[in-house]
Amino acid sequence: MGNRREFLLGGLAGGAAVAVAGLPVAGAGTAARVPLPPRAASAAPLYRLIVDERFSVTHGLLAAARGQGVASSAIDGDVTDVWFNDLDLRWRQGPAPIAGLTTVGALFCLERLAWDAGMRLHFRADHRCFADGRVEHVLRAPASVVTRADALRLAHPDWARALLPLLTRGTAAPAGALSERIVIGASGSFPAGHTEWLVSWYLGPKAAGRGSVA
Amino acid sequence: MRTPPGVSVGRYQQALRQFTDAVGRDFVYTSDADVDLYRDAYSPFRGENEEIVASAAIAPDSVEQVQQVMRIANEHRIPIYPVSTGKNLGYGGSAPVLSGSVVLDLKRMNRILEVNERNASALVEPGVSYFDLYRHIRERGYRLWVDVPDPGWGGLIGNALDHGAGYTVLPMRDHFDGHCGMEVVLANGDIVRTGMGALPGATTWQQFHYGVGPYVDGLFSQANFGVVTKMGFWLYPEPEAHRCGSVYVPRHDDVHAFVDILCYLTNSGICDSTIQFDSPMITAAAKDAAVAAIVNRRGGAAPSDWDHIAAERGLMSWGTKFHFYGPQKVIDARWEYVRERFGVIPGVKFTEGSAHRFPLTREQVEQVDPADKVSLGIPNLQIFAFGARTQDNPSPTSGHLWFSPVVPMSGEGLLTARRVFHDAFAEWDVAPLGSGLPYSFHARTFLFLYGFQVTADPAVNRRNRATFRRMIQLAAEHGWGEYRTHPAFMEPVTDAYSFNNHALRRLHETLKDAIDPNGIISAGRYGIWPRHLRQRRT
Repeated sequence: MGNRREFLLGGLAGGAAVAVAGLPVAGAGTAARVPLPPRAASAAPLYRLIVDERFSVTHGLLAAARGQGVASSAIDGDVTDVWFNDLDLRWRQGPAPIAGLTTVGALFCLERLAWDAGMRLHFRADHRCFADGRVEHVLRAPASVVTRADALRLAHPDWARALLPLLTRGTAAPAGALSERIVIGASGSFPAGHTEWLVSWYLGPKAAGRGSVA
Repeated sequence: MRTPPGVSVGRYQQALRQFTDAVGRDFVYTSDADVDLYRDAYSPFRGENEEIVASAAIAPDSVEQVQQVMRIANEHRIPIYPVSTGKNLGYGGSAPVLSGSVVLDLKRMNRILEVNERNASALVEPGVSYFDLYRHIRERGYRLWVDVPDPGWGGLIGNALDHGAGYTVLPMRDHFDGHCGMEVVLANGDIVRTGMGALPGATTWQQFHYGVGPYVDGLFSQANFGVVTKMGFWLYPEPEAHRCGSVYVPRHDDVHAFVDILCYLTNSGICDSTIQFDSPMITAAAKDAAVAAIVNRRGGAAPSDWDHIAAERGLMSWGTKFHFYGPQKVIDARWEYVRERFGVIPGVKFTEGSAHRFPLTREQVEQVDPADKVSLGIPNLQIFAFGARTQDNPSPTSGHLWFSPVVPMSGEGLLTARRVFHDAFAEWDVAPLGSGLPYSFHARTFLFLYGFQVTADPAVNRRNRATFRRMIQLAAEHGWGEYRTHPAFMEPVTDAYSFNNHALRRLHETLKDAIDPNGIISAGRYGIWPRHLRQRRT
């Protein structure tokens, strides 16, 4: 896209190229696979993954995305460039799913801009780290997705990265209120002393039958 | 189903069916999931029963559809709350003032109807954002700037109607002052064009404000007398160059001479950008206890103590940064003159800032210092990145409310307002966000901006609401009033403007009863209630 902050990794990757059936669990030589929730027949391929490169915890996710040819953008907290130079132009043609690991502020902006493009938040996992090394994850998604996301957390030491298949694959638009699950554990891939409140998320087309503006 | 107050379910459902006929099924929203998107993201009542929420939303695509919606609403007495892009965060977002109102979402009306490069003006619909107009101008290569606020995703019309402002030059940066001509749909569905727009075939609608007769445009700002469906704006011809420079003075009492010179330079147009006052001493107080003890002393700092520690720490007392726009030789001369004028203050220091020549390429735009983008008319969302939790900001909030009183543009005005507000903060044990130093967005005045946190904790929000109300009263006791406010405080803020037994409010109510007798438009906005709801005023 000509943006100095962006890493265009393989252009507009097709869904078939990035969707995987399950994530190989990389930790400690294990080889188990965590099954992913089924993708809705109507789910569009991920258009772009957005990560805040100021935080080292995002780097594993970005590298994994790069390895799979997922179109990705790195930001420094401000979403203006990726939205103005890319997403806004794409969304004028219709909804196109995006996902990310960013600050809450970046998601706040992108979610509201996505509403105007006929999209909604399908999945959100807040990662709040505490000074004592604990991290609180609050998952909000349809119940089956919450279960799968939590399974990924238990199976992989770098959960932020482990969510990649779920983020690239997408989920069907939630039909009602999102389920919520709060889990508290060790910081894992979130480094000790890390104080930012980050969030993994997926924004996709809203459910059929709803109005198309906001 | 949520329903508007005083409207039966049956009648409401009939109105919704008629709204659907008018704008199409896809653009009438009644499900909680859809209507919840219009909640105020920064509501100080979030999680409490008092939160103000809409009952439905309608998104028309044309002025004709707006007319139909207003006629239907008028027939059924459905309260309507128009929003442009709904991004007025900190001042209510897209949530109504009266719970149960139907939001009239105008963001589908996003046509840029005209850009006139020769006369540097534009005519737009309410859904046009600053980003939209900026993109339109750049794609077509017009040598024009649009003045933008922080942040740039809001609509030109909504921001201007709420007296928003930006950072470049007057009158364009005072967004209402920089408008020229309106089209308004009244409560009965009638269409009015103001200024030259009232003259059929007029070709100067966006050039001459007044037309002939009473100038009524102000009635549609911070008010509820109509739905603005088109608005003209003056744009700024792209300058040849930009440069900026800073001026700092060393002593506490230099503030008087500093602001006097500043007033002359800004009132005469020699300096024509937004002024953001700075004080290295006040900034240092956040991390230096000895400086804080002097700067934050109850009753105001003692100038001799202030000057002593400022000299000891090597800190300047007051300053600001000036942006200059225009031909290179002109802005060089302006900066030289500014230095000459401030040069009479002993110990003054000048610092050169960034400089640009235009037009900028896309790559150059991306390389502009984020802090300077709004000063160059480049819309962005950078401000949302400032609120992230960092080492220096360990407790980010869920939002904020701006307390924004207008105070005299003088050294005495600045010192008095700081003393009054900060003594109150100390007494009440509160610490609002903000530098505690004024801006000058609008001509000839200072504006203080204090942010009160909106959090996930209703108890904290209740306390901040109470503090906010005390601040309104405190400011009013000193003759200072807010320029704009969140719906939660429109009643007390406007109540302070009480000259002659609230004569201004009574005039507003007389107009409301005449123009919108059923009181369907934005009930309660800026304290203007329709007759049947006036008992709600507390």
